[in-house]
Amino acid sequence: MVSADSGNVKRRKITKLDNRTKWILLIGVLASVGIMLFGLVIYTATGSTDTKAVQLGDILPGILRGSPVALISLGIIVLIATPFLRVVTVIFTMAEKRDTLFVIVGLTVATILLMSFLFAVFK
Amino acid sequence: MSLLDILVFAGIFLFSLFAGAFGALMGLGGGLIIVPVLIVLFHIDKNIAVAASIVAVIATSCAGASVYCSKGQVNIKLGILLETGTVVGAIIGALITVFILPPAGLMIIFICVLLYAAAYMYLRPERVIPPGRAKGRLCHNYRDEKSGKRVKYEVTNVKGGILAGFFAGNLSGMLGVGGGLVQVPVMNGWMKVPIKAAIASSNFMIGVTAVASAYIYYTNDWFNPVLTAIVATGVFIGARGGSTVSSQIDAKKLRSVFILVILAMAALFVVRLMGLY
Repeated sequence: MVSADSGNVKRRKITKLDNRTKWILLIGVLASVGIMLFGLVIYTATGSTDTKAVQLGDILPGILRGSPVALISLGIIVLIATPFLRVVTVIFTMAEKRDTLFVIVGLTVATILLMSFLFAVFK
Repeated sequence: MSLLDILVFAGIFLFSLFAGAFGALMGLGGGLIIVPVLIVLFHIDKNIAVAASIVAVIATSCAGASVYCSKGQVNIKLGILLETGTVVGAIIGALITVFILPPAGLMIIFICVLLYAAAYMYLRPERVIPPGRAKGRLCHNYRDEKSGKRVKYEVTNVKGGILAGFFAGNLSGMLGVGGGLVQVPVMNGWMKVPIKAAIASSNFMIGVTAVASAYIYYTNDWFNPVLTAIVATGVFIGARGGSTVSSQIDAKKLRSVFILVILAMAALFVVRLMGLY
């Protein structure tokens, strides 16, 4: 009954694209804020005084050492990753709908974002 | 943490709550309040403030857009198309602010943006879009919550919109503010998108725009984890509340308050630039 929504102009329910986007954004931001809050609690409890976020490669070792700053850094990274995953979600949903134009548009945005990450790493 | 630290963080948290609600209700992003308050009132370094603000923009966008998507108000195709312009602008903006822009330069550009925001909100050149035939690839429709009717519309002037997106992204990357201030009037005025859909779509886009600068700030060590966590949490709660009540609240009634808030932010920077505080 719920077919691929090519005729979505008439549909009352929200589309697959809206629904997936909503969930990916919501899960991403909730996870991120949750991790940050947890990190804040530990930061306060342990009386840590670090003021710099931990770089990507040091996050996991930092968390294993019990560093609250590493945990908050993970939250920041999860938040930065969320809109990127949202772009990937749009690409996949458009591919399912065989909407080539918007697959290309989505890939363009994703590629530019990846370039910004490269710019950041090799500054 | 000392008692003073806790009071300072509580103050920043309250400002962030307000900034989040403001950003979601106006579709502008909370950065317009976060950056001036952090720099001037809390004496936080320009770079640290911009980085905390860009994370606030991402949180506003995720929290707000997830609500707007569930209401079907976001034109996702239009959003992702305009993002091709905003992300390029945001990378260049971030590189400018990292390598070139001094704090005074940031404050002067920021004051101009705030004055423009106040003038825009005062004049509110909102275009009422007559119902169209809506046949093109970017056409969209949503249910208006007040009238209960479905609003269909066609999108025009896409090339101009992408170019404006580049400019919006540039401002976002330089100042850490998101770019909705440019996106909303461009979508509504040039591209003939109804204002509700323009605000929802702008809210959806600013997250991706912000991400294009965020990691550049990150590897430059601009993130203070505690400050960022407090600002992000406050803004998230504020934005979620703001976009949930947006259909019940008549934003027009709040307009004069918001204009005063924005002018106060400009005044903060003027006071700082003159060395008075």
